[in-house]
Amino acid sequence: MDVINDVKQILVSQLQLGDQLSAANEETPLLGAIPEFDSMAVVTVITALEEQFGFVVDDDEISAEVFESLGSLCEFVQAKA
Amino acid sequence: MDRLQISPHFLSTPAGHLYAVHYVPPSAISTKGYIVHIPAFAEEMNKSRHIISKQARLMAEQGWQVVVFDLSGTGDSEGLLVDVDWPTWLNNIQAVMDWLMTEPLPVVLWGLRLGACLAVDYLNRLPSPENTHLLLWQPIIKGQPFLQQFLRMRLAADLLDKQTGETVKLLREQLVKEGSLEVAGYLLPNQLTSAIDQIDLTQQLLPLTAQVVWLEMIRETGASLSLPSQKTIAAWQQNHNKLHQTNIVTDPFWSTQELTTGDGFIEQTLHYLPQLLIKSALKQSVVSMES
Repeated sequence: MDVINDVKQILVSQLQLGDQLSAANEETPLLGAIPEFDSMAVVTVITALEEQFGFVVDDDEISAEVFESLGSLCEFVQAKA
Repeated sequence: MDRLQISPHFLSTPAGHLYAVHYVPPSAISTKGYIVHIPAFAEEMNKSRHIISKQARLMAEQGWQVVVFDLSGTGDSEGLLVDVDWPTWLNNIQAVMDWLMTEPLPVVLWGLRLGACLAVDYLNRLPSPENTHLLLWQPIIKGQPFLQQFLRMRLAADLLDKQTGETVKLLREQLVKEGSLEVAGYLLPNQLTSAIDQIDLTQQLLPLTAQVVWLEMIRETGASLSLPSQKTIAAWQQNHNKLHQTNIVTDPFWSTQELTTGDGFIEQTLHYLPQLLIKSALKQSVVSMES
């Protein structure tokens, strides 16, 4: 499973980032660095991740740290999937 | 030049007036059949309006009479969301059908997201479902996670800094206890959300005569559908429903932050609609030869 690629695609598709993430790696910052990434975007991204990977996210698992960077989000997905 | 007509109406129903837009083919083209659009829920409906109206115009140009309407308590129809329930919405569809159908022609129920679940439920309650087919765009398969995700919107601002200690579980309890709950500007009634909670398309079969066009988004070429969708499609195929299914590589126009075009859905719909007509005619001739 190519998690980083799947996660990138979900971010690009939900937030309409165009090719903004084409060169992104695990260190690329998300929350606070991408203007489109607000709290509503966090919700739509979680929903898309749930639908794509078939897991359910509980409220208390969601924190700013999870969305800090592409790497931290991928780690979260890997732990869930 | 002969053009299609687009006319707004307010249909009188026991639940109040329904706002409906009627798309009629240019007079040179005779009507092939009727299409009733059953909209998505809340913001998903708002975000998809531009695509629905574009699709409806193109359908009418191909000879279909199309109605796009707002369910009771939503959009420009009368009533408050907090007063509606699932049966009210099923009755809305019936009212639109009664108003629209003047000839015995094929009918296509075109449901988007939650509207797809309404379309399936409505079809299953028809006393004579022959000649009624489904066009499903990105159907919601299970209502429970869908509602879960909707309730989470109320927590969006709170999720990251955890100020109020609200959780989806607490919101659900509040909804049942108080009978309604405000989420993202929508006052949700418990009688509606409990019906949504029980939706499970994997457990709902269709009348054997029903044909289905199922269009679903995937994020890249070659990716597969979600497991619940695969399961529903397999069950319907085993039940011998004729099913036309295509995956469309696109962004989810009903949920993206910015407006998305959804052209893939429109193209594939125009491709499959004539097949619904051809196949149903063939089916009838086979039946008559056997008898």
